[in-house]
Amino acid sequence: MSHPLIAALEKHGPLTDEEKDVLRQISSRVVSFAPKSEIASEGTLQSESKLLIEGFAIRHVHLEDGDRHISALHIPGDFVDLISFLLKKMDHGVAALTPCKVALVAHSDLLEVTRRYPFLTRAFWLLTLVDAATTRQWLTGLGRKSARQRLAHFLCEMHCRMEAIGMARDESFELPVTQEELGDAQGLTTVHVNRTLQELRADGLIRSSGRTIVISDLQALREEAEFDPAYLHLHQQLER
Amino acid sequence: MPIYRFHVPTGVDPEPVELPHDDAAWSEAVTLCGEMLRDVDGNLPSPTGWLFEVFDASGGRIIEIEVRAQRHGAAPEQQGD
Repeated sequence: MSHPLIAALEKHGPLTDEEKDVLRQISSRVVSFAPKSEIASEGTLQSESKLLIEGFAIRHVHLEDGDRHISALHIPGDFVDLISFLLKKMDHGVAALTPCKVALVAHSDLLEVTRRYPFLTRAFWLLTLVDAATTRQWLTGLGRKSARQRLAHFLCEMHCRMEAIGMARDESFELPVTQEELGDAQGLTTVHVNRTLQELRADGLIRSSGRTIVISDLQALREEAEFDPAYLHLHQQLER
Repeated sequence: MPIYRFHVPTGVDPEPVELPHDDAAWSEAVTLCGEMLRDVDGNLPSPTGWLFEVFDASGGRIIEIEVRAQRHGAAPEQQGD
């Protein structure tokens, strides 16, 4: 299996052997996290950024009344808190949703990489920009779209991102997210998520068994969601 | 946790759901009502009579929320787009 970070960055332009070696070196320390455990807790200072190698993670913020909002779902290859390299103190938390393997990339190593490798620096920058673009799409959904459109958009996005890392096949992919977690991400009650997913199923747009989602009619689902994958910038090429 | 069954005025009813207590079911029902009202994006037919109900595990109705909407005046049948 190719290195998830190398695979993620190579989508934006070929890397030299030296660049690949340095990426392997800085991400060689891998640790495991149990489901529900915090990978980087809200409010803590970080001295390393975490690269998700295996498993699913979320970004979340907790409110005083016990509610929480999930602002991102991370999949293998995502550099889940690259921003802590510069921002240090976590203004949100990152938690494991499933068993996760995470590479710890020391900020001191990132400082050295950004000093010596301008192309990698721009590639890291691009990753944070795509994160922000994705957040803008989620905000647009939360602010302006119906429950049905929001959930349809989320499923289209996950399909697209999972396909890009080779984890979707025949419009089918694993989505180990509970309906409660979906509600926390899309600003909906669990019962509303439940009835909306049932409607998407009844209308022949999706099927699901257990944690596997099958998109039965991708084009119709994308139209409903007003989904255009351009914001994911999956193939944006960087100048060397 | 006790199981509750929600009945909604339009579309599909959710599957029965586990919630910690009746207060949580009330909160869920009120929020659901708001979410469904928001989902129509201003295009609520006139007249509209919506009834949300929640039943406990023994089938007893523990919550009822009614939304009644009626336009009055020159063109009550006219709806937003």
